[in-house]
Amino acid sequence: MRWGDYLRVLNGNLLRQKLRASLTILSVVIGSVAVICVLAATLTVRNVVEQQLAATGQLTDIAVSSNNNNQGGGPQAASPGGGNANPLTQAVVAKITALPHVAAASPFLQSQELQNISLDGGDGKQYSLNGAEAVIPNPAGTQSVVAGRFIKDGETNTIVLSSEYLASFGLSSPQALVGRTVTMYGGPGSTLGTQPPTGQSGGNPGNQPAQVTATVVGVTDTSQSYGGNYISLTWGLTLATQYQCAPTRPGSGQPGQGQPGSGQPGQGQPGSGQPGQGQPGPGQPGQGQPEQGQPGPGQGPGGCQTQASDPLTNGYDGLTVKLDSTDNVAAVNAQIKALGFSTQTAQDILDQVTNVLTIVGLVLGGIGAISLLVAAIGIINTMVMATYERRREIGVMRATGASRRTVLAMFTLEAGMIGFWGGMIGLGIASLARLVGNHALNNALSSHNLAGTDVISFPLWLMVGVVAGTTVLGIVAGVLPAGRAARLDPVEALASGG
Amino acid sequence: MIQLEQATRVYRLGDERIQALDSVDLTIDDGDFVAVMGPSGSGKTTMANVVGGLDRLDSGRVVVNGRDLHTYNDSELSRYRNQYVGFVFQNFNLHTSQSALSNVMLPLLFSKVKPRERARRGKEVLERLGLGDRLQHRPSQLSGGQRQRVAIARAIINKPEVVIADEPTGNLDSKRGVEIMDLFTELNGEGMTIVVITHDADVAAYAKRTIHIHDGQVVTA
Repeated sequence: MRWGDYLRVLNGNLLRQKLRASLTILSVVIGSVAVICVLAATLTVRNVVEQQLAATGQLTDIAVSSNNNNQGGGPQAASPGGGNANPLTQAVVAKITALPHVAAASPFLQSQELQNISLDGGDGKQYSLNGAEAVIPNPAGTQSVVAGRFIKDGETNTIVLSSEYLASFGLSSPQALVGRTVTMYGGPGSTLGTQPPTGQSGGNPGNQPAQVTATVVGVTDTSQSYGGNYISLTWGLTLATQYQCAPTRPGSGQPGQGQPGSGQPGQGQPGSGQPGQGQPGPGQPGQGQPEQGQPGPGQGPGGCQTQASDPLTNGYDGLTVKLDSTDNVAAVNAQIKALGFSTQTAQDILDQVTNVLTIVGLVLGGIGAISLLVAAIGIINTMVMATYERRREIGVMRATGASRRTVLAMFTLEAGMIGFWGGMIGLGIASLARLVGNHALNNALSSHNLAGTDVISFPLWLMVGVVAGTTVLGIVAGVLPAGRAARLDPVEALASGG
Repeated sequence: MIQLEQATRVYRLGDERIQALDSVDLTIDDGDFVAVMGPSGSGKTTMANVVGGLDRLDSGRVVVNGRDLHTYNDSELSRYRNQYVGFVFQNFNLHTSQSALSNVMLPLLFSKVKPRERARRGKEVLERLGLGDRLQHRPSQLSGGQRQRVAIARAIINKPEVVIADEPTGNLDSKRGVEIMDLFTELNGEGMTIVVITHDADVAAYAKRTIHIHDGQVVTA
C-alpha cells in the first residue's frame, strides 16, 4: 500500500467508530495535556529565573568571596589573632582583573558604620539603615534604579536608597525621594572623619553618634535583586577608615549601652543593636562583656568598632567579576577558584533551580506518565475490539492481496493515528491554556508595574516531542492487537461472522 | 493451467481429524469453466481456497500456470492472490461502510495503483457490469444482485487469470442468479478460467465441466 492510502484508510477506519475512537483519543489527550503542563511548568519556572538573571546581567557575573566564611558585613580579616588568610585585597582584584575574558572587576564593602537614617525636612525620626553596599558602579556590577540614577564612581555624600524607605519617609513615589538630603548616623559613641570626639577617650557614648549627610541620587526597587542601598566604594573606604568608636573604660560600661553586637567575634563587624535600646544582642558572651565594660576583640560597646580595618590591606567583602561572554564563565570561574576564593555564578543558581525542578518534574511527570499508560491500555483495548469486529474484513483484505505485513502495518498505524490525534488535540488544548495563562500572568505582572513577557512557552522540541511521543505510544500499544490481526488465518477470518 | 498433484489437506478440530482433501489429482485447463459440486463438508471450498492461495496443502502440490504455490511465502502468495486470482463469495463480503467504487478498488490498494488510476479502472469495470449509476452507493443501498456484481467487479478489476466463485448465487433469487451466471459465462468467454463451487445443478449447467467431490476425493472429473 502507498503511504497516502494508509492515511486515508486509517482515518476512515477511525471515523467508522466515532464514539469509541473519540473516547480513546480523549484518554490520550488527557495524558498529553498532563505531560505538557508538567514540562511547561518546570520550563517556565526555569525561564523566569533565567530571565531574571539575564535582565540583571548576572549571567556573565561571578561573585567572588574569600574562603574564610566571613559572615559579617564589615571588612574582613579583623580577626583577633591576625588578618584573613586569603583576603580579597587590591592586589588580588588586580590579578583577577587581568585574567582573560574579564571585562571588569568591582570590589565592594558592606558599609555598616552608618546604622540609622532620617530624611532632612521629614518627620525627624530615625530609621534603621540596614547597611549600605559600597560599590564601584558599572560595568562589573549591573544595578538598576527605578528613579534617578545610580551612584558614580568616586563621588561622595551621595547614596542610592531602596524604595522600602518611601513609606517610612511618607513619600508617594521614588521620584520624590531623588534629590532629597538624608542624614545617616553611626553607632553610639562613634566618631566619623573630622568630627571631634566628645567623650574622654574620643567617643561620646550613647548620646551623640557620628553622623553624615548624603544626597539621594537614585532609588532601587526593593523587590529586585539589586534592591539595596548603595554608596560609592570611594566614600565607603573613607567612612571605613575614618570611623571610630570610643572604647569604654573598664568597669564603666552601662548595662543597656554596651551591648554586644550580633557579629561573630573577630570579624570586626559592627553590631546590629539599636543605640540606647539596651537590648543584649546575640553576640558571644565573654567577648563583648557588657557587664565589665571590656570590649571583645574587634568589638566595642554598641557593636561599634574600636577602629575600622583598612580594606585595602585586609581585603574587601567581595568582588563582582564581569566577563565578556557567558561562554567563558566556567573557565574563568575555575581560575578564580584556583586562586583560593569562593565563587558563585548565575549558572550555579540555575543548576540548583534545575536540580529542584528536575525532581519536581520527575514526580509530576510520573503522574502524567501514569495517565498516558492508562491511555495506552485504552488503545490496546480499542484495537483488540477492532481486530475482533473486523475479522471478516481482514479476511477480505487478505483474499484481495493484503499480506500479513500489510495488515500488521494497518492496525499498528491505526493505533498510532489514535496517539497522533490525541497528541495533536492535547497540544491544541495546552496551547489554549498557555494563551490564557500568559494573559493572566501578564495582567498580574503589569498590575505590579512589571513587564509581562509571556513566560509560559512551549519550545518546539516539546511540541514535536509530545506528538511524536503519543504517536509512538499508540504504535507500541497497537503492536499486540495488530500482530493478532496479521496472524489471523484468512480462511477462518472469511468464515467468521465479524 | 491449474494442477493439483496428490493434494492433501487435513483439518484438526480437537481430537477429530477431518480429511478435507485426500490425495487429489486434478487438472483444469486455461480458459475452462468448471463447476465443483459435492455435499457439505466434501472439500469443495477447501479445494477452491488452495487453488486461490488462501490455504496451504499439508502435502502434494498446487501449480497454477507454472507457479508452485507450495513454495511461496506469505508476501508472494498475497501478490498471487492480488494479481492472478479473483474471489467471489456467497455473502458478497463487501465493506458495508464504503461505496461500491471503494469496494471495487480495494485490490488496487494492495498493488499500489495511484488513486486516480484506481478510480478510472473502478468506474470502468462497474459501468461494464451495469452499475455506472451506483458508484457511490453503499452495499446497503444496493440489491442482492447488484451487490454480487460489485463483488464480481472487485474480483476482476486486476484482470485475473482465475476467478473462484464460492456459491455465487446462493443468496440470490433465480432471476438474479441467472444474471450472475451469464456474467461468468461472459468473463469466461474473454479467456478467464472460472471455478464455481455450487450445490445447484442449474448453476453447474453453465460450466463446461463439472467436478464432483466426496469426502475429499474427486469422484468425477
